[in-house]
Amino acid sequence: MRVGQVASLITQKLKRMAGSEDWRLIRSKRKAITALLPYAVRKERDGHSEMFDVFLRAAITSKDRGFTWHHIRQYASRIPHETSPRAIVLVLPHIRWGQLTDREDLIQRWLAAASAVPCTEEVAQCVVNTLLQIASQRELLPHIPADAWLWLTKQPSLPPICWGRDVGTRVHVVRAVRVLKDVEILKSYFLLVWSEWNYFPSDSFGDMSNHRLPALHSLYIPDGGVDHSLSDDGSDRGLNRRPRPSREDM
Amino acid sequence: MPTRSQAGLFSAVTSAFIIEVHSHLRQDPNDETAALLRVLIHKIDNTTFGNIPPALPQWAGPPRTIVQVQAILFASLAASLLSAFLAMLGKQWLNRFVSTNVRGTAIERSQNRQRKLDGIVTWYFDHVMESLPLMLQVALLLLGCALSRYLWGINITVASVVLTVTSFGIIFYIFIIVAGTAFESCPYQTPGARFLRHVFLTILPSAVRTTRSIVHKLFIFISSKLRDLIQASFCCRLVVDSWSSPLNIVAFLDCVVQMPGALIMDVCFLGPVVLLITLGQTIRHLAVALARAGYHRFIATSPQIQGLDQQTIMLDLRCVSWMLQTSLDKTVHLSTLKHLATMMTLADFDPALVLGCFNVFVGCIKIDVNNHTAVIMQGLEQLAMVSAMCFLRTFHQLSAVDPGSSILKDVRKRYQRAFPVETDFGGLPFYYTITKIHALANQLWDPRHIRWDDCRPSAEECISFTRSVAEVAQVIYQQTRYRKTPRWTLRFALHSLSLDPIPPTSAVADCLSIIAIDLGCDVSNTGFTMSDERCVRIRKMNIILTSDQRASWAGRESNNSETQKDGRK
Repeated sequence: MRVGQVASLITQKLKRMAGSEDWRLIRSKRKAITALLPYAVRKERDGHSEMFDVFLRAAITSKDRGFTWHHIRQYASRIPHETSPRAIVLVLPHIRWGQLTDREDLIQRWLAAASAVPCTEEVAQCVVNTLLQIASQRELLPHIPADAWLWLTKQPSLPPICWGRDVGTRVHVVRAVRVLKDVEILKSYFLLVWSEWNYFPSDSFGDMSNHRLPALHSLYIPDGGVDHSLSDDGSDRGLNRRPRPSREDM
Repeated sequence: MPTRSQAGLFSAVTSAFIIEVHSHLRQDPNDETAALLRVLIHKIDNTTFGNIPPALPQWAGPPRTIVQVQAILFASLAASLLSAFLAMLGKQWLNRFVSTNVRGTAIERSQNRQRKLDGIVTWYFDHVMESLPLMLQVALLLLGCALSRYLWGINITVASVVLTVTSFGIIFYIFIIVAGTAFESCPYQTPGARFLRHVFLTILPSAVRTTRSIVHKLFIFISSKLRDLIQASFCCRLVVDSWSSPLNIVAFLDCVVQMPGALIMDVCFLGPVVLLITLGQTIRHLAVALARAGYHRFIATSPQIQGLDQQTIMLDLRCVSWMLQTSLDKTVHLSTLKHLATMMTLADFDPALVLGCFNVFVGCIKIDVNNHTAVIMQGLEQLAMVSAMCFLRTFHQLSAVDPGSSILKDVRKRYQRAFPVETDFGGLPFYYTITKIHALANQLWDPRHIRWDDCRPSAEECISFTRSVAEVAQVIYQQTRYRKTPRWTLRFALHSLSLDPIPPTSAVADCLSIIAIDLGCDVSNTGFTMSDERCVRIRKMNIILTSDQRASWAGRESNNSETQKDGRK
């Protein structure tokens, strides 16, 4: 009886906090909200998903890249054993993978859960977010099966502040995607991570910029100094005179 | 009982001397016969005794010295006989005490034994028994004095010998009293030495403290009354008025003229009024203090008022304490502590019980010197768990009821010696209990260092501990002006809620309450109430955090928030 009353109080309070969009307030209470997660997950498994949904709303509203408290790590590894596939898929993006234990097993269970739930925009968002977070951990990259990268092709609209996109532009992630040699996946990857809210570390695309200069030089025609120019629709408009590219232009 | 035979011997010796001296109390008939013969001879031949005619002796009572000696000897005899009488009675009393005429369970028999022991303590039986040798010693002293005085009138040389021996005995006795008082390890202990030590160590410091406190209060009282008197005095008011007004001769003269009248008013009216008020207040305070003391002494602690249950509980607690102090058998310890653990309340228990529980607990745990890990001794797992629970319970109770108890200080000292602060209790099955004990014993211990990760508590342990953590969270949340609960309480809630299997429902409710409190929910409507006793306990004894820690914690939190604000700016 008392448990239900307190849980109800907490749910109402979290709803109000999430509804007010006051991300500072939610961030200041993230430890308490994180402490609630094990109970919310259990309730979700029993069919009462209200508290779990409120938890997710609060986590999203907080606009925090690593919302959950690091003390959750002991419990996080057990989440796939205790709850439904939907909850696994939705909650894992909010937990920092760098702090978790038994991660290889967790990846397998997460992938199984992801394939078990119906693919919606929300689910795809969470899966891609989690996938990029996992990929950002260099030691976990070998444990990601090639099929998992196909989730990128769904191209969900990632939220402006997204931990997966932030860490997904690291150099080893870019290389891993390129190594797949799948143009669709590569294109989707770029479309997902390339946004006005994000920035790229100088080393992430260093390989590509290194290749760019020789490519331009190879395109340069010494006599006449002309180059191909593209029209607005991308079609070739033929050779055009251009100044020789200097290193500063690169 | 040796005292009885010794008393008989003393009585016999004294009686012999009394018989010897007793003849001097009456007129000797031989003296009268000799006087009459002397008169007859004088009648026959009046030249035998010269010109002076012999006179018949007129007896004017016994000599004063003889009366004194006899009085002292009789006092000695009476003392030794009384001692013999009491020794005889004492033997009967002790026979009744050792008789086991009650059948029933071990608990009932223990209660019966404890009831008798309580009677002995309440009625100062040991003091009465100890007074018997004292009475014999007094009887011997009196005999020595009487003998010396008696022989002094007969022969000084003989008297000197007796006096010397008696004096030596007195000096030796005084010496052993002094030595026994000064050194507790001295083997020549006497009741006098114990009494003097009690006076010097307990009564005298207490009296000094009380006197100092009374003098201080009296000084404050008198000074405040004097201040009131001065403020109300007509003379002082006149002087202040004239002083504060601009200097002119008219005002000064006016003041001088009015001064005698004001003085008369002060003496006639103000003085008696103030005196009467002061007297009245003093009488009222005294009456209230006396009534309160009387209530506590005669009514509140009266067995009739306390009720049967309360009496039984107190009896049981004393039994348990006695068992723990006297027995070395682990099985007896286990059954005794189990009984203690099942008792509903611990009211007015003997503080020595804490020490007993601690001794049993320490006997079950050993510390690995290399890595400071606490491990339970082989085969003592159950006793360790029960003793830890009982130790915590009694320790907790005593800390709340009497924080300044000397036994509490002693236990803390012993605990810190046995379990240094860095001791790792991670492997113990009663981790919560030992954590609380550790926090209570080391008042400066930081609860943030508690490791919950590998802890799998029992249901009972979990319920009680979660409840207390929730109460601490509530108290600190209020103390930090409704901002945050301590992080470690949230960490504890997270750990408890993630346990598999899930803790009991009440523990889950308390964990959720901790979270709700931190989120700012009003949990008072959900049945989360802090009982008065628990509130008092937490506030008085600082269950886990000391006030200094809370203050520093609150200060740290405010610093953090300020830093965050600066960062945002």
